[in-house]
Amino acid sequence: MLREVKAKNPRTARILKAREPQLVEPPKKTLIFHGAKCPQTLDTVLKTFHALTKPHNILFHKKNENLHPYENSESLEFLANKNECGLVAFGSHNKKRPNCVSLARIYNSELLDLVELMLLPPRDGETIPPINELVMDVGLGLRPMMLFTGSPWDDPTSTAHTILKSTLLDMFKGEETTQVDVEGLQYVMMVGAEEPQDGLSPVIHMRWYRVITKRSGHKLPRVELQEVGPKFDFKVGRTRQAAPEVQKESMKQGKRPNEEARTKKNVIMDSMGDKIGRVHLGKQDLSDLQTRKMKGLKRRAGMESSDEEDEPSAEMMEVDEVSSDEEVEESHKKARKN
Amino acid sequence: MSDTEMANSAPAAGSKTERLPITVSKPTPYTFDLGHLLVNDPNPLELPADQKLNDSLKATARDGVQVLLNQLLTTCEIKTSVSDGVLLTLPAPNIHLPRHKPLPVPKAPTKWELFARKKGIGKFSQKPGAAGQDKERRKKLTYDEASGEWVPRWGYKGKNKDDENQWLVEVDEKKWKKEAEANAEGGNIRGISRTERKERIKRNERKQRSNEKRSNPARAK
Repeated sequence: MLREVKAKNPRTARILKAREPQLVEPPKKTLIFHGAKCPQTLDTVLKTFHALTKPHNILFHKKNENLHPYENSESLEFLANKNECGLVAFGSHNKKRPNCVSLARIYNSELLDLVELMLLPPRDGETIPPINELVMDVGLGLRPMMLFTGSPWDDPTSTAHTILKSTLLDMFKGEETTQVDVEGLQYVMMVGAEEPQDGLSPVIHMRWYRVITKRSGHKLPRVELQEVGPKFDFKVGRTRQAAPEVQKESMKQGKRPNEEARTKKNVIMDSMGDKIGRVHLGKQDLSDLQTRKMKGLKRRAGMESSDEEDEPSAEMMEVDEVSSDEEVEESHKKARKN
Repeated sequence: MSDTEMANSAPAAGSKTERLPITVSKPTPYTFDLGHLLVNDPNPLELPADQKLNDSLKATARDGVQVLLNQLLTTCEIKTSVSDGVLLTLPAPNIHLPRHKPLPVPKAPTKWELFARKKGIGKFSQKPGAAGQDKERRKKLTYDEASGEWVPRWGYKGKNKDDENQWLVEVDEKKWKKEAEANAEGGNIRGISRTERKERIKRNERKQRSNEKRSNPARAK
């Protein structure tokens, strides 16, 4: 556990305030580092993750010995919390589990879930090149399209796939935006899960493609893909699921300030934060409208019949006015209450 | 799948007038989460032994991306502007991801706020306009009638220090007692405004500490 720091000056106070829990969280940062040994293929995996999660990541270059996330998650939590990271990609290599990447998630400065991916040697006689021989010109902060293929992703009983899908989405999704530029839909990440076989650990394939759109003659374009970047095949190793109550707690989303459903009609908030209410007064009765008074039209004492006719209508008008005034007041009150 | 194979062979033919297929038909329909730009293909992955792994994966991926793009371009609202380009408005994401940190806890009300709420004072007042008045009263800048400028209410060159540098200090009946006290302590009525202000600051700090202690007993030492 990190010690509680008390701010001694406004600058540190601001930094500490930014670290406090927020209602709408920024994208999680990924901490990428490796254990005592890191062969070239494993390095490629970690560096690829680094390139694709930029700028929301932190990469450690030095080795970290005696770090075993499944036995003791304390150092992992410490490093993640120290660097303000919600995700950890830890590469380790030993005889029993060669080329292994552990993906961990942190909630409330404690480990939430953990999944292990073991890199398989590529099929068809290919090799995984070192990172400096790979070309993957992906713009900084570009949101990828994601494709999860295979039936196991929809299988709720397969914990490995559930955790993995959620973790990979969390890691690569980038900054959440409500709008996206069509120009920015440039590359796609594909995660394919092979059909589960009894007694064998599940296998997944990770691929990246550049999207090329061609004129199809229809309104929508024809999509072609071009392979970019490395090609990884993983075997899913050990997994650790979050405790149900912690999982539930971590999924809680607060109410966004402007997301509140509008229950009261005709009351809105404009972009400046001012409350605006619209008041409906009904249709004005123009038949009783007092027009310009002229001397020639003035009533005289002798014409009683017309006087009698006029009086009740004048009364009616007064009553009307009062009632409409009340309505206005009431609606004003409503607006104020809101 | 047969549709796709046709599609792959079509560009090879390479005639310009030919229409390239843009639809994909699969036994199980795709599911989308457009907020995350994500598409789910629940069909089992087909990896025939006679085909290279990468090629079959690419074919599957192509179908998925085609469907995703079709869905994005047909269902999302498209805004075109010269400066920003073509923007797609995405719906809210369906898949919820766990938070990094717990939800923020709202600040506990101070003792004054509790009291004011009970009595209906200040911002809790039900009177029309009272809440706005209270807000106005707490703003940093205030209008100085004498100089015709907006000056800070407190702090550096604050308006609350106006009484301290006057050459003349009025001592009315209410202040007689204060003057006597100040004289007894060897002070002066002239410095009393400043001393009182300093005392108010100290009192406020004391209240702040006690509120902090009340709301969070663990953090306060």
